[in-house]
Amino acid sequence: MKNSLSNLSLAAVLILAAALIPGAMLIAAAGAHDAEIREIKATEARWNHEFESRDLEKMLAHYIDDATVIAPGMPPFHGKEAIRSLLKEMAADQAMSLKFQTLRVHIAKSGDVGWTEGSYTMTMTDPQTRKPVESSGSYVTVYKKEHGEWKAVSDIASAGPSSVEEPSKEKSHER
Amino acid sequence: MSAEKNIEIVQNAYAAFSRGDMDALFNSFADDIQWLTPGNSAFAGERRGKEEIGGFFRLLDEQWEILSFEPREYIASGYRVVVLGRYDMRAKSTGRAAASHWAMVWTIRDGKLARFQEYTDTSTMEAAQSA
Repeated sequence: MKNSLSNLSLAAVLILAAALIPGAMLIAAAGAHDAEIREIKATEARWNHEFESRDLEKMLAHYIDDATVIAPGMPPFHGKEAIRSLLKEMAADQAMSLKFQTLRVHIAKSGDVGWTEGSYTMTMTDPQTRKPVESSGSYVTVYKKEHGEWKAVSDIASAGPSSVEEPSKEKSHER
Repeated sequence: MSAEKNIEIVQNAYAAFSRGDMDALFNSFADDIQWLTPGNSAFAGERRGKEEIGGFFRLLDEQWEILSFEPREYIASGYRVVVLGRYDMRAKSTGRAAASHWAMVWTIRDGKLARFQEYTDTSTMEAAQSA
């Protein structure tokens, strides 16, 4: 009798565990997902500071070796060395200022690919007039996780009024 | 709906566009689809609903010849799919060609495309249209 009761209790515990474990796994997965979102946001915040301090190597370190950068009115930059030449030119421009604001972060289910959308304002010296010119627009940056760090694969900026909607204005399921 | 299914919906829409099947493309849109295009040209800004987006495609056909259109990579996160690709176009007004890499971000709702946002080098495209 005692054995039967023990068996029943064990069965109940196992059923309860089976019911709770998937839920617990979902919560853990959601937690990991949120942690990745925070990590990418922190990466972009750091990147902003590196532009401010014109730290070329740190600015460049955010890209994978075969990354692509598409900036308004310029030919595409493919690969780290091409991107280095772009960033070097930017860092050498005393008027240069680039500030970008992350508005959305998305992580794929696989957990190793994601993207951000945001807006930017940039000031650069116009090569013809030698005067600083401000421009603004929106961007999308695609990331992949490389050696535990989020690195940019593709960085595409569009000039003109930013049309990235603030996440708060959207329905809750469209994070 | 799974991320894989959402990628398939977006892939089918590009396939329809590539074979010129605009009925199939528009069938994949939600009635109140929101369409956001960057830049300062006649294409820029926000459009809503199939009728306004029909106007977008008519304008595209009037002003540009599409030489190549290649969606290359699809990445999904829940209700959203980002597509990375490249197009080569020729401005009909000037005959000048322009190419740009692009990213297009789609939101899927109830199996339909509900929001589109494009990121591309609009200044290169706009320069090709300037005489």
